[in-house]
Amino acid sequence: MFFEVKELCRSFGALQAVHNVSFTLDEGTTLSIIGPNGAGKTTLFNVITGVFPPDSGEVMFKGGRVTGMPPDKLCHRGIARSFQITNIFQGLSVFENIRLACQGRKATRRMFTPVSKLKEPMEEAEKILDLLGLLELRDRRAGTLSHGDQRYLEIGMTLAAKPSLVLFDEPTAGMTPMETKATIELIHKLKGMVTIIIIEHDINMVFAVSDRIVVMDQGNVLADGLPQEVKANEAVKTAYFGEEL
Amino acid sequence: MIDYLLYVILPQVLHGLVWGTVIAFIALGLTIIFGLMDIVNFAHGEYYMVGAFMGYTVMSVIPNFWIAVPVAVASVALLGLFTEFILFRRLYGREPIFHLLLTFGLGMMFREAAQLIWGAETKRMDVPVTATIEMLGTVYPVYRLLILGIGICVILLIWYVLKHTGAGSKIRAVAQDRTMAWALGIKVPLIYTSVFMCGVALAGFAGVLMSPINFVYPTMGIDVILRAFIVVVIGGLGNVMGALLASLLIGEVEALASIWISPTIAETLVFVILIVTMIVRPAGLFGKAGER
Amino acid sequence: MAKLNSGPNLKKTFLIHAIILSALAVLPFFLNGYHQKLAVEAIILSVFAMSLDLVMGYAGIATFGHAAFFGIGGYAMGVMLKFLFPSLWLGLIMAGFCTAILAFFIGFVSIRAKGIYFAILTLAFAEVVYRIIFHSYNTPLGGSDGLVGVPTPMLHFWLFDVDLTKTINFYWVAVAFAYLSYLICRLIVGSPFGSILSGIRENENRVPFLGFNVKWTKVTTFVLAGIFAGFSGAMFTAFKTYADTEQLSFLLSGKVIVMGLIGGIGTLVGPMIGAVVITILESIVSTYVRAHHLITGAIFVIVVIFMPKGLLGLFARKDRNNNGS
Repeated sequence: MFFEVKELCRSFGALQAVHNVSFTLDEGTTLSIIGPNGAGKTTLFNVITGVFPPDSGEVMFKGGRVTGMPPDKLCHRGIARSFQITNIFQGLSVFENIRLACQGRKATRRMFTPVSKLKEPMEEAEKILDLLGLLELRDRRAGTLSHGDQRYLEIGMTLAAKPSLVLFDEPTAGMTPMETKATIELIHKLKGMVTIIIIEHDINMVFAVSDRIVVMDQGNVLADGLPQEVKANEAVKTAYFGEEL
Repeated sequence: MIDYLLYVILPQVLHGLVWGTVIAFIALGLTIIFGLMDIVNFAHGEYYMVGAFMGYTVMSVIPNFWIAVPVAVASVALLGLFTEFILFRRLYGREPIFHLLLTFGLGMMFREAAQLIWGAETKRMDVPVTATIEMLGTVYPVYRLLILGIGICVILLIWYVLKHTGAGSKIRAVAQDRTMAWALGIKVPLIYTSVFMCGVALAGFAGVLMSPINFVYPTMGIDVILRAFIVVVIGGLGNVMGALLASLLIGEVEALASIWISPTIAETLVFVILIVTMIVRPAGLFGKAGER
Repeated sequence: MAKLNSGPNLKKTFLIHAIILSALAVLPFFLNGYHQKLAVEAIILSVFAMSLDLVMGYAGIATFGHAAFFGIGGYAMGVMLKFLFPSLWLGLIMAGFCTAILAFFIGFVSIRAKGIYFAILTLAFAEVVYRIIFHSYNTPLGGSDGLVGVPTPMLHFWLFDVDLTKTINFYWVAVAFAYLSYLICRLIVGSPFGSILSGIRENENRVPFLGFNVKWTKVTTFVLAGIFAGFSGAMFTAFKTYADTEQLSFLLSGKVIVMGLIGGIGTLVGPMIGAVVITILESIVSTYVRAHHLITGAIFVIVVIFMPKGLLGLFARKDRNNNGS
């Protein structure tokens, strides 16, 4: 099993944010996690990506146990994530943002060579900027980018370490419809190369890219299956719309 | 054995309580100011010193200690108002490194100014109450017990104000969320200024109270400020209860340790306690990691 | 970040360096003995200020106890020169060694604490070091009297010796020392390691997700800064022929931060200039004014209020949100 989450639980005081969440993932699939606000989706991501450990449960990746591993170790194992609220290096240039992210793959800590001499990160950064369409903006300070471009940069930094499993947390948050469309195309491009888990609110996007959907509500998994199955699921409709349809 | 306990240990325990109370005065001011305004005030000890010097000055004119005390406290409060308005305002919202520098520089200025005005020699003050009291077979100075008593009253008063009065809840509101408090109509700058004044006035109060015991000299602030900081950090920055408990802890540790080791080494011990605390609980004994 | 090593830039940089170095080389001929001594001090202290920049300006970590490394470096050199072997090189090695160990210990222990707590811990450690040395009067370290009577060392190069008893010789050695230190720090800052530091300074939260271990990076930076501080402290003692507790004091820790802020942190060069400015200012003030602490304190206050960005204007951003939480 490529990726598996087993009965993850995480509480904050009296609030049970994630309760007995389990699902499995085959390599190369794109999974969307949806649910109303407060369903625990981002907390789930935080647990998976090592921001804090679960109270109980396991996270298994490529057959190995990665529960509670810190983010940098997970990154080297091949798990990367993007953030709901843009988390880039505002004061550095676009190029420097991506290049630094590329350096993370081998986490070189060499001190006595100029960073421009590192062939691999330099080339990789160019490729990623090209993929994202940000090449012209490469020398601009990241903080001066439009919101949509900053979201792309965010995605780019996540892809830079060549992960095999990517977690996108609301990648299209705040994007214009055109930008969202471009993001959908980007994800289609990535589909063969990486396994993807996306948290999303944009239903159209979810149905456009997902191979599978997991629906969460109040910390629990409400439904887990193919998009058509989830669409028809009564419980899901109730959770979203609060009434029997 | 019992003798040792009574004649050696017990007085030191009491000394520790008194010293702990004095440190608490200073630490409370520090921690409340930090909890409220995020200001790290390295000059806080100098307000203690100014309180002592003002007390001394008043005493040389009107030899009545109990008049000198309120005058000293009031003048320190005024000084606090002045410095808050002109200087500390500029620190709101800035990185602690700027607090360190400004307050450290301010402290240097205060110390040097005190030296210029009053001279560098230590001034002795007479203890206003020379009576001693017999306790469990040993004799203990009443004045120290008086300080302890005053200290407890003041601390209880602060506790009461913070928890049970309207002003107190406004202060706590601002400490929690200043934007929200402002939106609710609370005059935040006024709260800041008054709390700052009270915080430093407390330090000045401690200074004048302790002056007959520790005497008065320009660098007396330095001696207390480091301990106060250690206490505040051990207790958790912004945590009032933590500061209180830590003050007592440190007061006792120092007092008891100086039975067996020299006071200067006891001082170093206090630092070691800080370091150990930080290792075990990085945000202080009672602080939460997420809190500033 | 500087884009070095591209054709015309390299030539320009080389030219600038050559001009500055030549100017520095001939400067002592225009100064009298007292001013020459002051110049040596200023140059040595500039390395101290630059070392702080690594930690504060590049990694974004506030430290209130940097003088501990300066002082320990000084004492290490003093001990070497007075009791072991009068060689500047050996003294530097000893200083580097001692400060590296101390910095590693302090950094490693303190790194668990964040932001202001870390800074206060560094202060506490520095105070402990200060007190230990202060109370060492029964040992050769001299306690509050300091370690005096340190002989001027021999400086042996492969082909020639430098007589360090002549101030002007020490001056040139100091310039070489400062320049070399600057080059090394420049290299570090422009390296892959350096870009991790920038990341930490800009947005520490994101850095682990890119695959870097932030704690270790910070500790390493702390140690590097400590070593350079130790080197400059060692040179200082070698020059002044004594080591004393003032080199360990909180006052010095504060002063070096002011030096950094005046010059502008995050530039390496800024703090060096700041060190020169402060040294000159202090000497002027203490010559003419009796209450020079008052002035020094006032300078601190003024710098904070009116010059938060320093002369080279770089410490602009993030006054509130990067406290490492």
